[in-house]
Amino acid sequence: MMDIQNSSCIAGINVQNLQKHYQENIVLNDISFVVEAGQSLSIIGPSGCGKSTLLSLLAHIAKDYNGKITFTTKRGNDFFQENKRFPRVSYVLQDYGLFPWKRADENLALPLLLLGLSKKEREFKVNQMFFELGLQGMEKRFPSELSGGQKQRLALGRALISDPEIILLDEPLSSVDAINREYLQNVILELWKKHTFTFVLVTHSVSEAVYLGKNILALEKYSEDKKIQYTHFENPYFGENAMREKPEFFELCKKIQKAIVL
Amino acid sequence: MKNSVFFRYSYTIIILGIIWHIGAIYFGEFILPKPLNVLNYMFSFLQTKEYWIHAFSSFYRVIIALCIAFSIGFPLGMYMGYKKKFDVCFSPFIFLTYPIPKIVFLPLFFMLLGIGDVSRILLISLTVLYQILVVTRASVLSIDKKYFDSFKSLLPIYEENNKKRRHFRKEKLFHLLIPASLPSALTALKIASGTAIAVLFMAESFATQEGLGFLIMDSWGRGDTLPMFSGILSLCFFGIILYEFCNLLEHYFCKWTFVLTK
Repeated sequence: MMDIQNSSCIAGINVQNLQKHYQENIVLNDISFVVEAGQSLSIIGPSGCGKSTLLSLLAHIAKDYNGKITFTTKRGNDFFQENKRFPRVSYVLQDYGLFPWKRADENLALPLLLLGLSKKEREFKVNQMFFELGLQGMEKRFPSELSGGQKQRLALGRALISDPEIILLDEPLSSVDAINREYLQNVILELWKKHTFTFVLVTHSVSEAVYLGKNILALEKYSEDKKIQYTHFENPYFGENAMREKPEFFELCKKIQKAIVL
Repeated sequence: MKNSVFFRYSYTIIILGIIWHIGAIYFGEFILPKPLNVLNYMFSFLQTKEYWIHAFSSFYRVIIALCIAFSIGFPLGMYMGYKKKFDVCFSPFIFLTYPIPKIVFLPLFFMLLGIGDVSRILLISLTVLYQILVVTRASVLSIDKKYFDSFKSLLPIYEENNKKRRHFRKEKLFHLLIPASLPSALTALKIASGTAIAVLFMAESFATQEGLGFLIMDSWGRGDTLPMFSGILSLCFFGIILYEFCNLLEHYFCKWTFVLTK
């Protein structure tokens, strides 16, 4: 079932003049950005500015939009545009979206089951993922028996297990305390370094957006008098290990903070 | 766990027995026989074939009726909760006929289906079917939208063209709809088992020579209080067995609902 010959490629995202409205209300207006294959984008902005809508459009959960969403493919060192191929996309929902009636291992195995993998393959991959997430011994627990951070890791694992090219994260760390937050940000970064995928992250926290975003999109609520709804930033320090201590990191945070307030 | 259930049942039985005994002294043996006398009588009655014919025919009427009601009510309620179009057409019928006490159709059932077990069983089924169906429908309607989104986000996307997207109906049923609505449906079954016994009593109270309902009415007519109270006690006991059986089903199929109360 799974496209084996495609598993070596990564997808980038190309959004052009995207517009989305619910009935009369315009949520997203004329948004364009490019995320190169294997890079990341953080979207930051106030509640109700359409961040989650943007993600669900990328995930093909919400439909009906104007504009263009296309995906670029990077295979080895070659880039090319393919309109026919749809990349494997995983989506981590705001409050994890783990099924409370499934044990941790069953939650992890579900995407593989939907892909049509055999029981043996599923068990192998699930065990491997538990090891990678540092959740060994939690296999038989229900989500309600896990802490917030563990649930978050499990949700990340569920997104990662089907070997996606793009992962969309909707406020993944919003309900995790400050100490676990930095730890989990590192977990995401480490997984990204190891598995090479493209990811888009929606967040409320400026420092998180900067720490996890190669590109940063500061989104505002759409209003008629402001024509441009977003500001785009680049983060040249993305992926550096000790980034949080660098003065440039704080500079960028400040700059983005200003862009949001104004 | 088992010990505490046993403890709860035994101390309630002792207290109720004491109240009963006081009542028996107050009202006199002719209206209310003493509990120990009833138990004594029942013990010898249990060894007769006659008792087991009564008990068995009641037992199997209720069990068959509950099975029929659940196997129709649960899927139908789920389908109504899931498919809007079907619900719009069909639910007015349900809610219009829901308040009618189905027991009033007893004469009609006897005339149409003959005086036999078929009409009795169907009458019980019809009564409890509504309870299961209405609760199941409501529970499917109240499934959080995030679980549907979460399920959608796990589905592999094969092509940008959604027409070719596989429909994961079976998977959705078994991994989302059934587990999400089963706890409420089983609670409904628990309540329905009580109703079923009440309807059984009515349905057995005439035109039959078998069943605990007949035993109670028949001995009452003869002023024979000991067999009458044996019948009443048996129905009590029967109700408890059904209730506990539903609990067992719940513990087996809905383990995840109990983890927090541990």
